[in-house]
Amino acid sequence: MTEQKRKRRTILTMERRWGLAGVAFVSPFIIGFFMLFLFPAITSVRRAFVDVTWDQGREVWTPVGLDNFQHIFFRDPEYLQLLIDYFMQMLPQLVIVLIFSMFIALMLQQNFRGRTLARAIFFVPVIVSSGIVMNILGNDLTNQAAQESTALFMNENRILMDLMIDAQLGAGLIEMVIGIISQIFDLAWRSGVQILIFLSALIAIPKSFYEASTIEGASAWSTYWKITFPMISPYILVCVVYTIVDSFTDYDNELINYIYQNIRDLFYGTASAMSWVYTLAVFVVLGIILGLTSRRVFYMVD
Amino acid sequence: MHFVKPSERAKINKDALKYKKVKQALWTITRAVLLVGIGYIILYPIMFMLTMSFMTHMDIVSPAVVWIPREWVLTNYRNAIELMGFLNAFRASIELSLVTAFLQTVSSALIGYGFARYKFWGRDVLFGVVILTLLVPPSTIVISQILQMRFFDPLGIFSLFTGEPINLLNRRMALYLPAALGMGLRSGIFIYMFRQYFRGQPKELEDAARVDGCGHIGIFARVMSPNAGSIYLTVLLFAIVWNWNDYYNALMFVDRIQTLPVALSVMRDRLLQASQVAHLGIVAADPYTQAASLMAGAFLSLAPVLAMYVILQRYFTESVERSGIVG
Repeated sequence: MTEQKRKRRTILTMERRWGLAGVAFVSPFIIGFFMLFLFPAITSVRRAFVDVTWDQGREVWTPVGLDNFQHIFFRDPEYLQLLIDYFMQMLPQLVIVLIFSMFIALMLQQNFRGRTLARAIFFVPVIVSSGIVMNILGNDLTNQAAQESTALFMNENRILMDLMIDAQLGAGLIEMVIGIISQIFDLAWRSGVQILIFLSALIAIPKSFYEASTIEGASAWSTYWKITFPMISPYILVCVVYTIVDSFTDYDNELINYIYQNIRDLFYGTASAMSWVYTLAVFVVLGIILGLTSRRVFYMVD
Repeated sequence: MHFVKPSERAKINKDALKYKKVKQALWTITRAVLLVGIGYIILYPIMFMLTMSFMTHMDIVSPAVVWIPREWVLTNYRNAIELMGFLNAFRASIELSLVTAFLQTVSSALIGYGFARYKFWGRDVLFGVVILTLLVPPSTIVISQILQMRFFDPLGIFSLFTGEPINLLNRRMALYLPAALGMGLRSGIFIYMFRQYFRGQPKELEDAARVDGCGHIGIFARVMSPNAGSIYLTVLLFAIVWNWNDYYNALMFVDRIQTLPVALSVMRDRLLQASQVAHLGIVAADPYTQAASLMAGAFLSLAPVLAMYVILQRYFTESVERSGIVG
């Protein structure tokens, strides 16, 4: 009995000691997190409740309670509107980016001539993700490219248009499709990494699954919904998270630009309050998305 | 169940086959049209930038010239190189992005490995924290981080020796330190990628190495890492590219070490000023020439990563196949 007990304890300590090495591996992050994230984050929260003035290059804090929050919600003419605009723009875009990148990944997975070239081209946005360059190419060019893409799919060969009219789609629906197409430029440039994630998820699906479904005589449609979609569903959330993270450093994220403008004008208290409201809003939205999707996501047990 | 004559059955099969073939052909055409169309849209701005940067004022305004300039000129590039201080910016960008990316890759590999292969108390919560650091917009804590770098003094060590905190702003260390501690630009994503990858490695590999007397570092460096070349390369590529293109971090922490994106925005501001006060002798206050010079500058700052992509493109797309990212 005691023999056994001692044995068990030694095993536990062995395991614990082995685990300690894990802590050592992770320790750079622990140090970095406390020093370069948590500590600044706490000061940033506190700064949201004070008024910052300057005295010989050092901050002077005057507590003002909730005044900064009152300011951004009730007195600032732009902030609330920008915040609402951001989410009104981001949520539909999120859905479109997901569908688009999943569709493109499905195409790029198939076998055809020039596949390598096609993949290389579709990953170019991952490389040229430079905000400032996109900014220089400017709204001018983005508009031009949007027109170009509309022309390419619409005016020049009116096939799609005619098809849609033939299919007796309502005017509203047609308008929506045109809207999406004129955004293809934007979309293709935003979806590089998402396409990459979905594509590698698709490639990771074991071939035997498809073989089995072919033998059973499943149609392409049901193969997609019964095999492909469940297998890549865990990565939908990864893509959602990435899309949101990407929007933080987006060159035309007006909200972030507005916050930086406040930082440049040295309104540190207000800027901190703005940032934290934004952060919390992002968390709430992510939480809702997580809650809505988690039941439907399928995880294969390894 | 009714009886189908063999000849009829053959006909039905043939029809089905034909139908399938037509469907296949239609899909091939649709796919080709979509891929070519969207591919064109993706390449459009790059081609636009490239050709415009070689154009003279006449060519830009002329409606007859769309893609190919009638007269190829290098003046735009000369302007851009001069106005951006290209050589210095290029050197700064190369150094900063390579070192930062290297530090980021190594630290994320270690951290990701720790999360993937060990069990310790609070591991899953801590990994949640990794994702959390991604989800807080950088603007939220940037003020605190800048001030922290300005008066850098962890645990009062520096004031103990020199009497006052040290100023890390505009020193390369301001970017290297977060990169080495897993807090660099989007380090969380890299940690996640490494964790996914190392989690998929067989336990037997580790056990065998352990039996053979390999220590923790030995298993990581000599058993696990050599197998993980593709994921290392993928992370390194991403890290180089994101750091190369990074504008906000460079502007906030090392704005005096002008990297290419910062230099580019400085050049744009100078050109804007020049158009108001036509005093810069180098560029006439002509908006078209200015735009062309900006295009030249933009292309110059993208060229290195584009070149790297063209060379390493094969590894990059292959690493996708080896499921480096999803694991």
